[in-house]
Formats: sequence, C-alpha cells, structure tokens
Amino acid sequence: MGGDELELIRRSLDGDKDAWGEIVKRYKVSVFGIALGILGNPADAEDAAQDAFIRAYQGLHTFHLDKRFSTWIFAITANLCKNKLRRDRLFAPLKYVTRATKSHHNPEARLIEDERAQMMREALDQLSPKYRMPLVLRYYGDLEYKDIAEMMRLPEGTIKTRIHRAKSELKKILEKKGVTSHA
Amino acid sequence: MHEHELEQLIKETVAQHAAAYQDRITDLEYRVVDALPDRPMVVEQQPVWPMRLALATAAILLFLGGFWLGGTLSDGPPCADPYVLCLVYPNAKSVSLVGQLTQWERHPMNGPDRNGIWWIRLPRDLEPGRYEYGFMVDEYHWVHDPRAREFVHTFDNKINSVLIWPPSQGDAP
Repeated sequence: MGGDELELIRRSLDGDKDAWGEIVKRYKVSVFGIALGILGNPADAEDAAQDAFIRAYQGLHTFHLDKRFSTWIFAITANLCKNKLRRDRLFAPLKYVTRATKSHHNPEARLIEDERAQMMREALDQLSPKYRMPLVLRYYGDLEYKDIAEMMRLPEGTIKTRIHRAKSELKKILEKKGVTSHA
Repeated sequence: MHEHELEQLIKETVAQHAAAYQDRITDLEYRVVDALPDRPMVVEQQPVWPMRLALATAAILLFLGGFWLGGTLSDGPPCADPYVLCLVYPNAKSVSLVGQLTQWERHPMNGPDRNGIWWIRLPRDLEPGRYEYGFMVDEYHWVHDPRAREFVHTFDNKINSVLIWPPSQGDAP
C-alpha cells in the first residue's frame, strides 16, 4: 500500500471524511466494476458500490493496515453483491431471471462495447453467480485464489475448480456464438 | 480460444461494461461522504456480538470440552499453558490458526490427540497487544475460540476471537 494511501486511511480512521472521499475517488471505478461484473445490472451495481464504501468506512477499524486495501474493499463489495443475489433469489425470482436483459436497455452504452466484449458479457450473464463471482474477482479484480477463497469461505481448491469450469463454459458459449481466437 | 486471451477478454469486458456506465459514479465520492455518519468512527473495544449468546456458547463448549480435557491434560496437549491455544474438534480433518498472530496466513495446528484436541504454541517473544484470530476447520469453516475473553463481529458476519496479551492472571489464553 502506498504511503499516501496509508495516510488517507489513517486520517479516515480519525474521522476525516474528505480523506475517505479521496479513497472513494481512487477505488470507485474498480469497485463499481466488481459489482457490475457480479450483478450485471448498473443500478444495482451503483447501489452496491455506494453501500460498500459506506460500510467500509463504518468498519474501517477492522481493516488490517498491513493488508492490501483493494482486496478488503473488493471483499466487502463481493459480499454485498452475494447478499443482494441471495435476497433477489429468495424474494423476486423473476427479477433474478431477467437480470441479464436489464443491462441491455441503454443503446448508447451498447455502442461503446465491441462485438466480442458484447458476446463475452452475454456469456458471463449465462453463468451461475457461483461461477461468475470468482471469475470476476480473479480476472478483473486481480485477486489471488486464496483471497477469493477466504472471502467466499470456500477451500482454495473449490475456487480453482469453479474458475476452471467457468472458463470452460465460457469457451463453449463463445464458440457457439462463433467467437474465435485473434491469434 | 487461448487461455490467456480468454482471461484478457473477461477483464476487458468487465472494464468496458463499467466504463459504459461510469456516468453513474461520477459523483459517488460526494454521495458517500454525505451519507457517512456525522461522528468519527469509534473503535469497538467491546464485542459487538450479543454478549449473552457468546458467553452461553462459551460456557457450554467449555463444559463439554471439560469432559474431553478432564484427566487428559497430564499426557495431552498443554492447554493450561497460556502460550498454547487449543480447540476441541474431534471430527475435524485439519485445523489452522489464522489471524493477526499469523499475518492472516493459515498455520496448521497440531492434532488431533485421542480426545480430539488441536493445539498450537504461541511464540515466546509475543509482543503485548490485542490480536484477532480464529480457527479454520477443514479449510473453510471459520470457528471462534470458545476460550477467548473477547469477540469481535467483523464486517462480513464472522466472529473473530481476541487474544489480549499478556493475559491477566486466571485468564484463559
């Protein structure tokens, strides 16, 4: 962790909200990305990102300064997303099923993505959350297997297996869509 | 598609998707700061886990554990030694100590003995302080130490045990 980041966290621990605002500014894109990768819905991801930063501030005394801050804030975000998905499954199954289609309603946003990414996103949406979550944390969040295992409270071997299966599934889906290697 | 290319595409896809909606988080830091509690944070020195439940659980486990420990300490793990952490978990295949004591890395514990006791010795040069820890049973069950004097409820709904070092006289480690 950089010295100035440590200083910002120390100031935040002393109740300096502006210091926390600076932390939010630095991490908001990646936290939003993690939430969007897991939830798929931009509105839900926005809520999750906001909630994650507020909860992290409230529980900042449980953060260990010798650990990576990104791992910690991603863990909070992933847990919030997991709870959100669980609530949705319990109370609004239809909403859960239609989750993938909600994020396609913004035509301008669609134009920004290239076709391969668009297909990959659709493929990711087809994965079960239990496969999508470790995949996003590993390849977008750049987290180690052991960190993902700890935050999902699963053995590291299970995480590796899920990621392997998720990638195999993605390959199959992409091949069906005709997406091939650039190489 | 090659493995590396697939992984790169996953990363780019999530990043592009987030970028496409980044207008949603343009002012996120301001919204977060506005929503923060007015008062500076208070460091919780006391366990926030319902104390009565924690004490009741600890009492029951100590009572049950007493049967396991009773009569065996003389030739079993030295659980009465303040430098030794013990956990009675006969059915576990593995138990590790995880916490600030171990830089949150897993340190396998010794055991089990014939009574199902797992144990680990703390370093002799342990600095005075307050250390959060727990036991990882069978790789992923997070278990608190029923003999701890304090507990902390973490942000992700785990219970961490707290070791206060050096222990005051009569305290369990």
